[in-house]
Amino acid sequence: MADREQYAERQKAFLDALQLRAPVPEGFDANDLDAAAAALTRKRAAGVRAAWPALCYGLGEEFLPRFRDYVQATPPPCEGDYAADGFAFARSLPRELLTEQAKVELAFARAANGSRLTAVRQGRSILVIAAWGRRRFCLTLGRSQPF
Amino acid sequence: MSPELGLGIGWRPELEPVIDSDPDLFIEVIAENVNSEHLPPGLARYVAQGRQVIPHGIRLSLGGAELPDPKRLEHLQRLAARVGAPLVSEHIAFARAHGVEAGHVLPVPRTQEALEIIAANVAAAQAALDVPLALEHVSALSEWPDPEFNEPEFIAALIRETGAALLLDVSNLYANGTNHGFDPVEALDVLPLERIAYVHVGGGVVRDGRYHDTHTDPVVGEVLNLLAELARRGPLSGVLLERDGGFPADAETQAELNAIRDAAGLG
Repeated sequence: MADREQYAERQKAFLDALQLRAPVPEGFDANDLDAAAAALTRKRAAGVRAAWPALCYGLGEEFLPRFRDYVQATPPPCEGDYAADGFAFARSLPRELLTEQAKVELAFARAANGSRLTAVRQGRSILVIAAWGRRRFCLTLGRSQPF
Repeated sequence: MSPELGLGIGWRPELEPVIDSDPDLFIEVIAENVNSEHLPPGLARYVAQGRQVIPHGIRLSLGGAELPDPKRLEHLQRLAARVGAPLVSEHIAFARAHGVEAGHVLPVPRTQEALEIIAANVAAAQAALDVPLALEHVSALSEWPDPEFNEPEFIAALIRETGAALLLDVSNLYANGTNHGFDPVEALDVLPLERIAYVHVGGGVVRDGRYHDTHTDPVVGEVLNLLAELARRGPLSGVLLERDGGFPADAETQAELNAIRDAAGLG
C-alpha cells in the first residue's frame, strides 16, 4: 500500500529546496538541484518582470537579490499568475525602493484588486485612481507639471 | 484512437497573427489560463471557426500526493466541452506539496510506490472527464535519487496501467536524455508509441553545460532530428509547437512550424 503522507513529505522537501528555503534533500545531486532552482527562479523572475516592468526595471541591480529573498519567503500564487506574484513582491519591498513609476504601477494594481480609491504622490502632484466596477477614473491634483 | 490533428501551436495572444494565417493549425490552450464561460476573444474566434482545440492542464498535480481537486477537474471538463475538445492533456508531475505551489510541473520519483499513487490519481481524473486524457512526461534538471525504473519504462508502465494516451514531448525527451545521460532515440524503442495522441515540440538553449527546455528560445536541430526519427517509426496524428515567450517575428515562427511539419512528415 502506497504511503501518500510520506510521499507528500518527500515532495515538500524537494520543493522547499527548489524554492531556496531548505538544503538539498538526501540523495539528490546538489549541482543538478541548484541548476533547477536557479532555472525556476529565473523563469518566475521573467514572468514577474513582464507583468511589472516599472517595478522590476526600476529596482535596477537590486532586482535579482531582492527577488531571491522574496522567492525564499513566498511560494508562487495558486495559478502561477505573474500579476498576482508581482503584486505580492511589490508589497514585500520597502517603500523607499519603489520608483515613482513603480508606485503608479502598484496603485493601478491595487485598483484592479478591489481598492475603490488609491492615491500616489508624483512630484508635487497627487494621482488619484478611483475604481467603479470595471472602470477606472484618474485625476491629478496639485500643481500642473511644466513641459 | 487518435484524432487527426495535423500541425498545431500553443495559443498565446501574441501568436494570433500566425494562427490566423493558417486555418488548418490546431490549438492547445493552458486550461488554468482561461475561464470557460468567458473565453478570450481570439480563442473564442478559433472555436467558432471549428478549429480543434485541446485544453492542456498544468496544475492538476496528477503526480502529487493528493487525489486531483474535483473543482480543477470540473473546470477542465467544462472547458473541454466549451471548446469541443477531442481530448485533454496533463503532466506526469506534481505542482504542489502540502499546499505549497510549485509554479511549475515538477518531476516525480520513478518508483513502484509513485506509480501506484499516480495511477490512482489518473484514474480519478479519467472518471471525471468525458474525453480521453493524454499524459505528458516533463523535462527536469534535477532528478529523484534511487529510481526503480528508467524514464521510458516508467512512462510506459503508467500508460499501460491507466490506459491513458501519451503526449510525447520530443524536447523533454531530448532534454532529459542530454542532461541525464540516456539516448533519446533508444527511449523511443521502449515508449508506447502506438499510444501517442500528439507530440509536443519546444525550444531550448544550452546554459552552463545543461540543456534548458525554455519554450522561449528557438527549436534546436537535435530536437527536430529526434522528431524526424519518431516520424520514421510511424505516422504522427498531431505535432504542436510550444512557444511561451520571447516571441520572434511572425515569419520566424512560421518557418519553425514549417520545419516541424517537414520533420514530422505531415503533408
